[in-house]
Amino acid sequence: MKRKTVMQKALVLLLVVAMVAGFTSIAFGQDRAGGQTITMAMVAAWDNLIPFDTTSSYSDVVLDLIFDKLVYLKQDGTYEPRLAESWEMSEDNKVLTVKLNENAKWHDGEPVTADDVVFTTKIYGSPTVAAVRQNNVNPFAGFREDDDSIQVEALDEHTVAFTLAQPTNIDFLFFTKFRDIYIIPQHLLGHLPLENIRESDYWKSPIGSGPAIYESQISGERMEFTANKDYHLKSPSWDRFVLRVVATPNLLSGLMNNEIDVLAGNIGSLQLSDWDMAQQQPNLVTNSTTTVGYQYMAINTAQDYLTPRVRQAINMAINREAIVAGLLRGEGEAAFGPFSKEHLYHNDVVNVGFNPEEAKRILKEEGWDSSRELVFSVPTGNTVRELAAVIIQQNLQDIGIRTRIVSADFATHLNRVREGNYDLGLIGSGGSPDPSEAVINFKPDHINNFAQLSDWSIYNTGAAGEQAFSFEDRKLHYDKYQELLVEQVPFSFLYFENNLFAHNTRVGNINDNQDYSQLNRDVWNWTIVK
Amino acid sequence: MLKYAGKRFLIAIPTFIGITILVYILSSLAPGTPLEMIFSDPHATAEQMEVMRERYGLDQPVVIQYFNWLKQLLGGNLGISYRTGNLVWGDISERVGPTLLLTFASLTFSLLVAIPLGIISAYKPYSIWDYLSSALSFVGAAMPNFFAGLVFVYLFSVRLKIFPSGGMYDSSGTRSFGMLLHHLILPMLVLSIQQVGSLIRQTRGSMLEVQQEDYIRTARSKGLLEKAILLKHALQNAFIPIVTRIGLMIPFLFGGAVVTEQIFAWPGLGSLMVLAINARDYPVIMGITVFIAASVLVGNIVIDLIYSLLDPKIRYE
Repeated sequence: MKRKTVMQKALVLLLVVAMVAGFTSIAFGQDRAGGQTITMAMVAAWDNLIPFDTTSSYSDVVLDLIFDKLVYLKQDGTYEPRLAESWEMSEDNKVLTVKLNENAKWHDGEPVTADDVVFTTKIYGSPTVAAVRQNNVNPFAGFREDDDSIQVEALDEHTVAFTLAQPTNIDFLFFTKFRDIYIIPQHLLGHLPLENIRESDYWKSPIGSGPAIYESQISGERMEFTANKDYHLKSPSWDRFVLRVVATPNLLSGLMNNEIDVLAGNIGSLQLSDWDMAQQQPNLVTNSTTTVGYQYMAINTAQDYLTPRVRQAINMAINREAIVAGLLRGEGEAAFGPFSKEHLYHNDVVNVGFNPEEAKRILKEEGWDSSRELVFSVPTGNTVRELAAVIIQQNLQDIGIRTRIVSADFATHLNRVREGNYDLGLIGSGGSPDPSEAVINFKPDHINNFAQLSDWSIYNTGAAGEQAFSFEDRKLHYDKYQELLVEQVPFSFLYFENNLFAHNTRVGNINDNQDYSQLNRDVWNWTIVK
Repeated sequence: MLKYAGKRFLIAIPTFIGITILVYILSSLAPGTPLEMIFSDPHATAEQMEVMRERYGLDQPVVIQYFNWLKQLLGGNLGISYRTGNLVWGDISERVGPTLLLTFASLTFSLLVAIPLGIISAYKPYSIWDYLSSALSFVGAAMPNFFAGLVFVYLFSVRLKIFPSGGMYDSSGTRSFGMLLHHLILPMLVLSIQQVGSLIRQTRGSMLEVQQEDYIRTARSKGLLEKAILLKHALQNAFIPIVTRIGLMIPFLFGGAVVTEQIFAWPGLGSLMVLAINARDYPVIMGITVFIAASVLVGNIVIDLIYSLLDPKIRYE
């Protein structure tokens, strides 16, 4: 039995070594030098660190730490200075002048100047670069005419003027355009030919001007940073920051074990089944936060049998309260339009309610063929949404509409919906405090016209709001826009799902995690409590 | 032997090409393209998508796309990831290490546990050891990786606080080998559990069968020590089906690693594959396929060669 003994010894040795290694690891939250570390978790990995070449929210988490943006966006529809110290829109709403914070510095010590902002907008808009995020600079005059045509200029070392192609609302600019514009350094990238800018080694360890300095990464597992103690808004009280990728089912165990200090918010939300247990943990602060993100069911308006009246019947047949109470266990809100009750632009009259009897009556009037079966396309990957599809299927069955659920991965589903090869299809949106967010979805010649609308009225009403300037004027446009949505029902809005947020009690001053849905986190304000 | 190895290698080439054709065609057959995910942003335009379609050659027929890819591969280039913009080889090489570490640790652990238990079960059938190892093997074989992962995290990480719930290192800023081992244990156990179950049954079955053979009876009647009979005469002969089983385990380990890596945020090829599939990142999907197919094919050749070492009667022409 000598061989067996050797095997047993080897096994025991392996376990002992590993456990000793684990137990001798240092105290929670401290690095080897005794500095304070904050560990944040999100549920999937970033794709790249090129700010103009990604649309991944996971990349945005990283980019928001390394780079600065002009303003800090808040879910209540307001914004605060970040790299921009102040801003002013001209009377004709065609020139936005931004004054930069003079204390802002790149991580290599060079000052951040107006030239950097001009350089960034040129890269975003350059036809040669052909950035994925080029549309973030499309309101500016000269967009995509040539590589230097965009009309953004440095008035002095710290003042930039953005000239707009047409009068534009400033909130619209900040919430939908500047939200994804990360300022990149001209002095490190300006010498590169535009066609090769993506290939630069700079992107492997980028130097930004944000609150965290890039240190290292393990691809797909973590990224580590040191604090930018010279950050112009506030010197962080922590010393290191670790961003880790953690599978959703393991978020709570990581928090309970003190392996994770804080969740990333909208892309690191606890699952509902863990929520009660999370609230009972003495080491955690929990917060169920309302969001502007929503789920909806697109309806293919190009199908002649899905008439506006039939669409209205479908809209009122869905028992949203049952979805919110049952599937979301109350951690959400029924949606009747794209704006939740807390949204500044919410229009009270859009509540269509739940009225299956009226829905049946309408279907009868419309001569609905009850033998017809609708193709109900449902993307996989979001359990609540997949279960909601089953409830909706039952609700529609109750009024005499048969559906066949066709599940597919998101890319397949998106293609099917974009091409119009469906009748009903579930999609989600991150939403926005700015009411213009979904307007593009109703533009008949746009690729994201999921409902296959041919009527321009919804789009035109929403787009007019982008060129209205007072809150009252905009509200009029977007009230009408919401009413048209209820009337024409290209989308049947379903629910707003709360973000189930938690952080360790050792991290303090995490005041408003709602704002994390706007792709920014005020990590410079976070403190270590103990 | 060398001639045989060479022949097996040559046969593996068309198999390899067949696998790449199958995977390429299957991933291209699904509706939608990588562009859907790159431009899932609501403000993307059709014009942008067209530019990108041409840049990536997605406007070409699938057959042409495949041959372009194959030409690149023969030139030693796996292409550029649509998702990250990096060289595919670069993305894969960052992830190979963790996957090999996990799969080989799991393979070693499975062998160390399953073979002794299988031998004991066969040596003393219907004993308490046999029942225990049978119970372990049934539970192991019946428990899916994702479920085992969640149970182990709850038990060892949340309740007992012995092992971390995921990742490769803690957040302290230093990365030691001991820390790596400590993080490796739970994913390794989860990946092993199914393999251990089936390997115990295989070893037990083979050993029981061999023990009925005449030469074992002869050895016993010659008065050889029971240990020598069991380990030298019986085990060596029982090993051939066990080695076959080990060969079959290799692809299963890579497959199981996809789920295990996801649960434990282990940054290997499995979690990269999931990201690539979700993003329709064809160059990365193909790159990982090439790597895994090549590993499995080479693994099979090695297993074949091991047969002849175990049993001198097996001779390859």
